[in-house]
Amino acid sequence: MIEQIRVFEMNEEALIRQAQDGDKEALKMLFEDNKKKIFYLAYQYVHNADDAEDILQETFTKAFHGLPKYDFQNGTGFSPWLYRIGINCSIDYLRRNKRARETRGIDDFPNIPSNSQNSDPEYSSRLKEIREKIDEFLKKLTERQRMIFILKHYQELSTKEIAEYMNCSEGSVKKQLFRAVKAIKKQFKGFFTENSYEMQEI
Amino acid sequence: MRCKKFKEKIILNLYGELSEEEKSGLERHLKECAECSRDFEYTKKVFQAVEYSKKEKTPEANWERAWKGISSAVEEKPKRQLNLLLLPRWAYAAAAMAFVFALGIIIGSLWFPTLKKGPLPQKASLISMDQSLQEHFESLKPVLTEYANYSPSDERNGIITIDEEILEGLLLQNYLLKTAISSQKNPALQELLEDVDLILREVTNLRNGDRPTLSLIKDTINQRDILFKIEIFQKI
Repeated sequence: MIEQIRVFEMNEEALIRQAQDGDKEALKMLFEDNKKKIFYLAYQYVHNADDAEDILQETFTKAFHGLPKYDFQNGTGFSPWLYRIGINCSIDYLRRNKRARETRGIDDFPNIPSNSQNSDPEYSSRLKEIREKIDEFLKKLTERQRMIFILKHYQELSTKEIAEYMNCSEGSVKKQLFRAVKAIKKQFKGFFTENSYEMQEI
Repeated sequence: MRCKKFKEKIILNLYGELSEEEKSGLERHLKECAECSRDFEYTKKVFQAVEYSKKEKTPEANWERAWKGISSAVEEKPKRQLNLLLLPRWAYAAAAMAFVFALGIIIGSLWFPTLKKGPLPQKASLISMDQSLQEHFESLKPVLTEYANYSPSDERNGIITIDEEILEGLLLQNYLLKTAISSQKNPALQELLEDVDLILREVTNLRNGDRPTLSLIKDTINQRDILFKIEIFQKI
């Protein structure tokens, strides 16, 4: 296993070096290897596929422009480096487009497709209701709080990892998370008594 | 107060980020405190709801279109254009003040035409402009040198600390000078102040550890010979 990781790291290093020399195939391979991770992060953050695609493009463009300066020695792997750019691009994107998004009322999801095979209308309506509550709550957070919440709950990173990616202390991440959890608890107030169903696997 | 700490521990426990000792301390407290116990159950339900929301299907991007966009953008050099929407609020206030100031001068010159006679006021204004420029360049140099000398391998881990107020002051001073210079038909100086404006805005928006932008700032300063040009203008 360790050998496999080493081979992977060596391949990635070779790929990055080729990309640094302007090899388009190498750039494409780096894109292919990392595109989903960045897109899903952006999608969970902005909750709109078109915006997430814009962020995806912005992240890779910024990363590829900065690639000649990418330093193998500083200990940050390519993926975390790219991930960090993706986080910054997402936050900037939301900040830049906040007013436009507020005006056109984004984050409205009339038909939420489900990952599971279940076609139960009750299930879809529950999911929609929960999603709406979460979207309302996310709108109330600052850009940084929102990103920290997404990284914790949707990307399932530890507070230590989040602190590394967001360039802040673990204590600050925890503080933001406590505030966000307080807000989401307020958002769901009364919800579980009115909707007494269980969150079982459907 | 004690319960507030436990409420935070409830969250950390659900994240799986408590040590065994902290966990058993929390369990003991939950057995004794009905309010915290209710809070624990409620927080758990809210977290389950968030988990539940993950069942929503994530759409796929149009990967081919995205790649085409990236690939054509990579072929172009990174563009740094002045985006007015990105300017902080105080910049708009400064622009408004500069506008009112300029308007005051125009109205004043129409109202008191005698003041226009004689070379003294014009000369005085040029002297003060020159002094302001020299002072501005003096304040700019250490900040720009700091970024021009940045090395990705240095110990500062991509962090250069410049006081926010100093930066805002420089940006404002640069903006006012740029506006004032525009009437003097000095394209070289105008261009230099435009470049400095761009760099200062990048620096203002820079986040700690954002090495690519830091490198871009360094490259812009060096490739456009900003420090050299400042030296030249100081000697003129």
